[in-house]
Amino acid sequence: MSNHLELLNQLFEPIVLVDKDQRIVHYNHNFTTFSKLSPRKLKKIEKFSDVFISVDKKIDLVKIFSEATSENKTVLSMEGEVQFSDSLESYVVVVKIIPVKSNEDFQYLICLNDLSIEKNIFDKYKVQVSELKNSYKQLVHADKLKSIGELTAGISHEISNPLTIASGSTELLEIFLESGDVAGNIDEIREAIENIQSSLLRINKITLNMKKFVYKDDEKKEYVNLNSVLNSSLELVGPSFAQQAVELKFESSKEDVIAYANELRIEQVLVNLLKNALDAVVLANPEKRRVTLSLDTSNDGEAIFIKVLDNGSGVEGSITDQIFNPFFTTKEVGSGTGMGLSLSSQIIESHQGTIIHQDNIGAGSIFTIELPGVELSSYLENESTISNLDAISELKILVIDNEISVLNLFSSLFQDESISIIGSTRPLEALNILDKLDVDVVIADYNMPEMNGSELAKIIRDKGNDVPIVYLTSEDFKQKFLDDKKKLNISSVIIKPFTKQSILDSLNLSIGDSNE
Amino acid sequence: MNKYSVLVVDDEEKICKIVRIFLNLSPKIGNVVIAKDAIEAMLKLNNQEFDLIIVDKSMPNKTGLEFIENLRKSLKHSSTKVLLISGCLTKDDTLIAMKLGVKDILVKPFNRQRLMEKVSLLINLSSNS
Repeated sequence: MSNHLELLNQLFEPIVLVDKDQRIVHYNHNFTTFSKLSPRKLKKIEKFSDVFISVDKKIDLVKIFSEATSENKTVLSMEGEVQFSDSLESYVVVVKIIPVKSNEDFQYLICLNDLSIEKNIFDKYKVQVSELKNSYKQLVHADKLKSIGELTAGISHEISNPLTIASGSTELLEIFLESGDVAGNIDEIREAIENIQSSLLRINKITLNMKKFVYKDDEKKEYVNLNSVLNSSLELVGPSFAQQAVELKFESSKEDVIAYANELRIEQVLVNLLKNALDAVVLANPEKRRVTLSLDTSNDGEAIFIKVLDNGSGVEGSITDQIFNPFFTTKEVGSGTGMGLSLSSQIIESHQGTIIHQDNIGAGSIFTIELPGVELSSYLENESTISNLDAISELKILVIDNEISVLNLFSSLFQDESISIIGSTRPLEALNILDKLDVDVVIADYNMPEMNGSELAKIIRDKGNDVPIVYLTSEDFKQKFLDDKKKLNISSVIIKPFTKQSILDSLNLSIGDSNE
Repeated sequence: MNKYSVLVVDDEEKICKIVRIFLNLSPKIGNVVIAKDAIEAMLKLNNQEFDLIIVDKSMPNKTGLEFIENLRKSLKHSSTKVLLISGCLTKDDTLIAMKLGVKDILVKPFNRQRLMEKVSLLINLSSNS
C-alpha cells in the first residue's frame, strides 16, 4: 500500500484518502498546497467534511460520501465552489470519491478536480458573447439606418422633380384665377391641372416601387400544400427527437391544406418551434416525453392553425411577454442565439398571421400559428403592392384550380403586371371570397373534385353576380364552354396547355364585353 | 430700360416652362429662353448674351456642373451669373460648384417665392432702376 501512497504524491490532483468514518488516512502533497492546511491542522481533523466548505451549497459532501460508502461505488459530484476551513481562497471543483479495497475494509479516495481556470475562462467568454450580442444589435440597427438613409436619398431625389412641377402648377393656377381671365387662359389652366395629376402619379409610382423593393426575393410567396411543408419539417427534426427518445406526433385534419406562403420560411419557423419543444421536454423529463404537431383549419376555412404542443418545462408567467423579443433566451450561453422565436414571429407576421404561446394543460406549452386562408392571403399580398391612386386600373383575377402548380404558374406569369392574382383551390371558399371582395374576372378550372365549372357558374349567377367567368379546361371539355356560353354567360375559355397570350386574349374578351 | 435675359436649362421640360412663366411675371425680365440639355444650351449661348443662367445639376449626357465648367473656360461667359438647381445636394457637388463661381444653389422642390428670391440676389429685380 505504501508504494501506492507514494504514487499519489506524484499526482497533480489533490487527493485525500479517508476511512469509512471520514478520518484522514493519507493525503498527497498537492492537497496541502491546494487546501493551505498545515500537516498539524490536518492531524487534528476528525472528519474530512469538517474542513470542506461548499460555498455555493452545490456539493453536499456528506451526502455523496454516504452514497459512496453505502454502495461502495465511485461517486461524482456536480461542479461547485469550495473553500477549506479558514483559508479564504476558493476553488471551483468537481469531487470524485473512489472506494478502494484495503485488506478487509474499504477506504475512500477523495479526488478534487480543479476547474477554476476553465470556469474563469468560461465566465469571461460569457461576458464577451454578451458584449458581442450588443455590438451585433447595434450593427444591425446601424445597417438598417444606413439602408433607409440611402433609400431615402434616392427617393427624395426622384420625387423632387414631380413635386416641383406639381407645386409650380398649383401656383400658376392661383395666378390664372386671380387674373380674373379664366377663359383667356383656359388652355394653360387645363395644362396646369394635367401636370399636377401626372406629377402625383409619378410620385405614386416611386412610392410603389419602394414598397415592391422592400419585398426581397427570398420572401416571395407561392401556393403550397402545408401538409408537405409540415412533413418536411418533421423529417428534418426527426433524428434529434429519436436520439432523445421523445415521441413526435403529427395530426392533420385534412389531406390538403393549401396556403399562400414562403415554404422555406414556414419550415424555418416550424423547425425552430419543434426544436424548442424538444429541448423543453428533455429538460423537464416527464414520464411520457411527447411533442405533437397539428394542422387544422377553421370551420369556415378562412383560417389555418398550426400547433406545436409539448409537455416540457413550459414558459414562466413572468417572461411570457418577452419570449418573442430578439436575443431573449433562457438557455445557456452557446446553445441557441435567442433569435429563433423573434425571427419566427417576424416571418409569421409577414404572412399576415399571428403566433401565440399558451400553457398546455398540466405542463408544457402550446405554440399556435394562425395563418389567413389562401384566398385572403393572396389578396392581402397583392393589395400591399399596388396603389389605388393610379389611372391604370389593376385587374383582380380570381383563379380557382385544385392544382397549386396552376395557381403558381398564373402568379408568376403576371407578377410584374398590374394584374392581381387571387388563388383558390376550393370552389366553396372561392364563392365565399366572391361575396366579400370585388373581383374583375373569375377563371375556373372546369374539372374540380368538389364541383365542376358549370355548377360553380350556376351558383354565381343564381346569386345575381354577373362577374365575367372564364373556363379553364382541356380540349375535350371545350364543348362545355359552348353549352354554357349563353346559358350561364361564360365569356371565354382557356384551353390547356395554355400560354400567357391565350390568357390575355381571354381576359380581353371578358373585360371587353363588360366595358361601357 | 434694359431688361434682363435669362437662360433656363433643365431636362425636365415642364419645369423649364413653369420657371419661364414665373420669370416673365417680373417686369425687369424681358427674355427667357429654355434648353433641355447642355448641347442645346450651348447653341443658345452662341446666338445671344444672357444676364443669368439657371441650370439643373442632374442632366443626362452632360451634367450641370460639367456645363458650367465649360462655360467658365470661355472668355465670354467666364463671369456670367449662374444659379444651380438641384434635387439632391452633396458636399462634393457644393464644393465643385463654389469653385466654379456658383454663388447660390436652389434646392428642389422649390416654389415661386424661393425661386424669385434667389434670382433677385443675382440680378437686381427691384422696380427702381
